[in-house]
Amino acid sequence: MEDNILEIGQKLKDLIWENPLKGSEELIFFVKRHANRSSLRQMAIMLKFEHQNAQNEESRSSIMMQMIDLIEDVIHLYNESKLKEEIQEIEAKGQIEANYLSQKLPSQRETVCACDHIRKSFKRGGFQLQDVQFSIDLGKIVGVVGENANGKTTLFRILVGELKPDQGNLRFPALGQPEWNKLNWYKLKNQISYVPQDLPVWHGNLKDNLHYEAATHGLTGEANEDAVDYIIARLGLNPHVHKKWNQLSGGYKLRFALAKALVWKPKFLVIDEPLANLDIKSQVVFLSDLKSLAQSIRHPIAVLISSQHIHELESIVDQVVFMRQGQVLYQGESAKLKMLSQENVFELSGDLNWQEIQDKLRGFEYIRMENAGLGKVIIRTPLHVGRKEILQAFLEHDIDIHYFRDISQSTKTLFYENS
Amino acid sequence: MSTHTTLIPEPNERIYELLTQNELEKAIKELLSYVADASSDRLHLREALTISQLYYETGRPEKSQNSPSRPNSWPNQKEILQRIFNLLNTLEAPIN
Repeated sequence: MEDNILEIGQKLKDLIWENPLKGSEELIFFVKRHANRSSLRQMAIMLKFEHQNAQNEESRSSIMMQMIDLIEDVIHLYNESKLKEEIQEIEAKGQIEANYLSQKLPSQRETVCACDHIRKSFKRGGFQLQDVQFSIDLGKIVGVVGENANGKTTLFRILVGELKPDQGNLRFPALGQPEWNKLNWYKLKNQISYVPQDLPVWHGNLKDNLHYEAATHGLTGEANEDAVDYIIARLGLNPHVHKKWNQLSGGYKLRFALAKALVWKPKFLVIDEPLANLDIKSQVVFLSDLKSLAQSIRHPIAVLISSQHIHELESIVDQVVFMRQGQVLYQGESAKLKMLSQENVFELSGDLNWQEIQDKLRGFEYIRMENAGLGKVIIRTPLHVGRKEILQAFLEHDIDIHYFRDISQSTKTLFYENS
Repeated sequence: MSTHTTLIPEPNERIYELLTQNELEKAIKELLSYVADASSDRLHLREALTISQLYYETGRPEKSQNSPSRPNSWPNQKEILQRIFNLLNTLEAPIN
């Protein structure tokens, strides 16, 4: 690598003159790879920002010269054997840091909530939650999916103590209640936060409400101030802190509800259909914030979340629970579904004539084709017929599609199973 | 001694990556998480909160022409970046 660094450095210099934007980005990677020193990485990042914001050609040229100087510095430092030793030392310290943190941290493998053979029936409507079993660990996110009226909200309300199950057992080991059904709900509710689908209206401004919420969970003085300011900043609510209920959009009402639910640092968050009223961009921000907060090292949270937005949900959850008619039909990693399955499943849509597509794919090896309505088609193929083969067949037979997705590793396949 | 190091993310690394991608707002959010996890010093948290506040008040680029006009946010962004780096250096210092 030592022999190469001069060559790589020269290529990078050329790139900086040819395409400064790309060059400045590559410079950051170059510094990271060859001189993993914070001060140099910070300098590279600063130069990138400075170049983007330079007002004239003269400033841009000057910044590019500084980038070239930085490359020279990195090459020089890299070639000094002292630096290599330093890198080894830093790596060793990284290990020390990791060990040091792991000593202080709560175990994220601890089970927060476990339920065993939970049943609940309602006389009106005849709905039954049947024999539900599952568990969730600290720092993990479990997504509950299923069609409407299949028992998700009923299950959530049982887990947060709003409904009593007819039968079955519950325990919350990480919340200090490890024995089945010996539950002190007063203590439990001080560690469980529930965000229902229909958000309650609140009065006053957002910030005051958060101070109040934190205070009702025992946070006073500086601790209250820090907790409120932290959750506001962490969820990007700063520009809205003085707003009232009717001044916030649906997306921000939900973010506020999340802030309220998390400001007092619960260990278990249950959140019902939060994505329903969010646009795609807001969904991404919301879910990535949720994942980051759940995986906090010092205050990990177990999150149970339901949604109909399966792909978005699956992008952040550790496990999926699929429910149908009050029963859990699957719990596990969605990627493992493929290992259990004997087929690939593809979802596609377009201006498709059902008969025409069947005619054109005659001779193509597939197991079953289903018309899911509104121009959507589900095709199941044997495991050896994958994405590449099916797309090739579409091209060869001139089948025009505008949406295609391999859902073999998604719980969405379960929605298309015969109910 | 427990050494389940796979559970330890590298938040400062994530911050650098987000900055490389020009994602200043996300980097500040990660910084807040990092500070909350890595330090029990209230001053560190307050500094991260000040950085976040500065960003929303002065450093956030204009999103649309309808939003209130904001003077060139780069000098403020530069100060925010410097403060982020200073805080990262401070947090890394006791271990190094």
